[in-house]
Amino acid sequence: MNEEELLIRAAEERAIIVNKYAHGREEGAQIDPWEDPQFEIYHVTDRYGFIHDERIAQRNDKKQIQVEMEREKKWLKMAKEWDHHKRSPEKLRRRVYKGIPDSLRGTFWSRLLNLETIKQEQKGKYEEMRAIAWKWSPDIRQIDLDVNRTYRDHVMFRERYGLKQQALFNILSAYSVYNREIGYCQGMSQIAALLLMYMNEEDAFWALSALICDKKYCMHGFYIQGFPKLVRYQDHHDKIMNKFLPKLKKHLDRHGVDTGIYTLKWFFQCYLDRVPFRLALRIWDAYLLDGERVLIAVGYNLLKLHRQQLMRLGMDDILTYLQIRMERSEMDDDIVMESLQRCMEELKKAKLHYPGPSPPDELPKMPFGTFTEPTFEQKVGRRTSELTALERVATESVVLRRQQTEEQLEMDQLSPRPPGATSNGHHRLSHISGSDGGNLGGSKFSFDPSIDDASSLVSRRSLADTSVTSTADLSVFSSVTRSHAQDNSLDTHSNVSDESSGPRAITPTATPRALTPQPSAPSPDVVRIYVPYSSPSPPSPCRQNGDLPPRSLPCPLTSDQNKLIIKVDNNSQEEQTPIVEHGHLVKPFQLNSPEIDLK
Amino acid sequence: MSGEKREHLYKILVIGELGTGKTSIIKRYVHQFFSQHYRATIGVDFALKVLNWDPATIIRLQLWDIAGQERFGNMTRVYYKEAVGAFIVFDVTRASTFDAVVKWKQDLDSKVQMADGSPIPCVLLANKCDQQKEGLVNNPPKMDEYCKEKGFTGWFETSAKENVNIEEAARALVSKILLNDKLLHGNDTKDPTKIALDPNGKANGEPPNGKSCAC
Repeated sequence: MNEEELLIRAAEERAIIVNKYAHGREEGAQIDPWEDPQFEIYHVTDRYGFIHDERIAQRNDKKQIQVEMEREKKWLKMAKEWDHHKRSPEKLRRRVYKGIPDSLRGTFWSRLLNLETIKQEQKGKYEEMRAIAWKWSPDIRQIDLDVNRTYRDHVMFRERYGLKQQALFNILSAYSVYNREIGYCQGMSQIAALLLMYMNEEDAFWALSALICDKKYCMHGFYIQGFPKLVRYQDHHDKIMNKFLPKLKKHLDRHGVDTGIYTLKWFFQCYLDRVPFRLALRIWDAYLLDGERVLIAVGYNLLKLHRQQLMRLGMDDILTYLQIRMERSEMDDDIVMESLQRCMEELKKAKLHYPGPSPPDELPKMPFGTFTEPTFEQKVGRRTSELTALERVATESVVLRRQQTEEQLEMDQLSPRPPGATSNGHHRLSHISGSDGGNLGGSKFSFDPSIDDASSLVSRRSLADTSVTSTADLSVFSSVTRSHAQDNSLDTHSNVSDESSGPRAITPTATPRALTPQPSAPSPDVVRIYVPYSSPSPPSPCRQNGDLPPRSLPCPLTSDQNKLIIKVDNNSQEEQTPIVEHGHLVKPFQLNSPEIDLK
Repeated sequence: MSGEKREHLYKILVIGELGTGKTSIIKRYVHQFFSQHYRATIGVDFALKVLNWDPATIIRLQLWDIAGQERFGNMTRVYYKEAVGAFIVFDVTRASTFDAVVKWKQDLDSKVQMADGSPIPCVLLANKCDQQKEGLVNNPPKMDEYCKEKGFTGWFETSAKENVNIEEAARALVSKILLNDKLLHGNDTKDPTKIALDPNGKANGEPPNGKSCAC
């Protein structure tokens, strides 16, 4: 096709798309049957408007709704004294972190974003931009494709070319000509849709605009070519990880889970689609109040809360966990938000709470709302083959970070790479043994020192204090668990199953590995104790005076000796953080009596 | 008792223009499922498919689902490294997505190569073939020629929605990768983390021909 034909094709495509949205559903638009919301959906829609595959058996959010109704009165009072609360926001902050009542979210989000003021200043501008966009926006096709897959499981966006889809299309198109430095960037459609769940079309447009250009949020630097703010935030996230979660950071590095892989969506969409929707709303409450520093703190908070799970997983499962399982987590939102506030305090003390204001290259350079005709390439949507200078800088920075991580790992001779850590398609010989995980002899301890234990439940010292376990035993545990940390096997049995045949060389390549994710695998708590009551065969040689061959286990004791006392160090005030197992919250380990007697 | 199995770990890229159905293809292949409301991929997503290729071979495919929007390129291309195969996806209903295929191929070849410097195997997927087609894809012999000329291992008309040819396309790509492994085996002793393939093992490397479906 020659240039003229390409231009005609692009213009025709745009006109057809704009026309479809302009006329909406009623003009005989061709849609799939599922895109037509039937009456039935009202039975399967949750309180936020998401459509579920099955009828919701019972509404288990009644209590939450009741709490919110109680709070509404206080919030309405705050609305009346808004200026006062904005000036001294302590009470407001406390309440925002407890969650804005859903019925008032739109109101308070609008206030936090100063929409009234902006709208007064910009009267008529939105309609103007929308009209220009329909005629000129080179991003119409991409926007159409993304409107077609934005929250289609939400009742507002299910209907193809329905009212909210029209609004979403209009906002994104208008913004694409309002801010030509961004145009349209993927990630914006989810945000605009979220805003539309709580606001009308024009308000949502200005809300999007505030999020992008207000210095409190400054998302401009995320979405422009080269993503300079993303690079800066990822570097900052790494700094926090190295300081506060170094073991988890190493673990992720060893498995090739680069910061760049999992934080992009976190930062671009402020956690939409990566945490449960109801939690995302709570995070958004905080984000709109406190601005960009919330993005950083939430990232740290999530990894901290889920670190024990993540430490046990290999590459494939880590990514699945971050992409899918975290979104289905059933952790209590209040606990997450309380933890978030503690994280913010912690980061503040370390002066890591704020990556600093946006440098000039992240800020808008062109005035908003001034129309310039798109270039030929932009009009026909042709790819440019060259990266811009800014893009090159960003790419090099990401590559460099990756290289440094790899060099660091190579230097770290104590931690050889586990199988599957790299993704270079090398071959491994794997002994698939069916006999692993059979009945084991002896008590088995698994104490995982590889978890960042600023808040471990039981400290190493407290294990040493137990009355039965000898020092020799402890050294045994650590050698066993160290090999755990290396092979990251989900099967804790495999390393110790053949003790009677002497020490086994545990090398990364020879280590059996779970072939499929094992959600039902035994959950290695910080301290795990198996106390078998029957003597296994063949009996292993009994120890004398705690003198054990390396990596063997305490030999089975006769039943009347089979007694363990564990002391739990309740004085450690570190443990504030709740623990999560398979997405469920496990209450912090608390005991009334400092000793447990296991008989 | 313990048996011995060879396990291969392959990183596969799935690339192509925005909205061509990359995520849908992956979900169909991995979860045998199609949904109308997948969301746009922001950055990179990841999925794993484990194949029992033959009684002695397990293949773990790491499928890297790369965002299609152009401006994500500078971030996502970082992750092309170490890939051993790729799918380039276009949408048969939009000719412009086919126009971009050649750019994606050039981009791929410039970012990642095999140990001997040759391009990694790449299969072209003409997706959404359950809908009305536009352009060259209506002419299979021309498509064959195109693929030969541009260095594609083959091409398939696919439909993630109707589950057409996804398995077949993956099989073709994996066969080609296994074949490459076998050929490269001789000069692949530099890396101590790599364990050589059992020379007697069947790599099942039937070279796939670029064949299209009759969908």
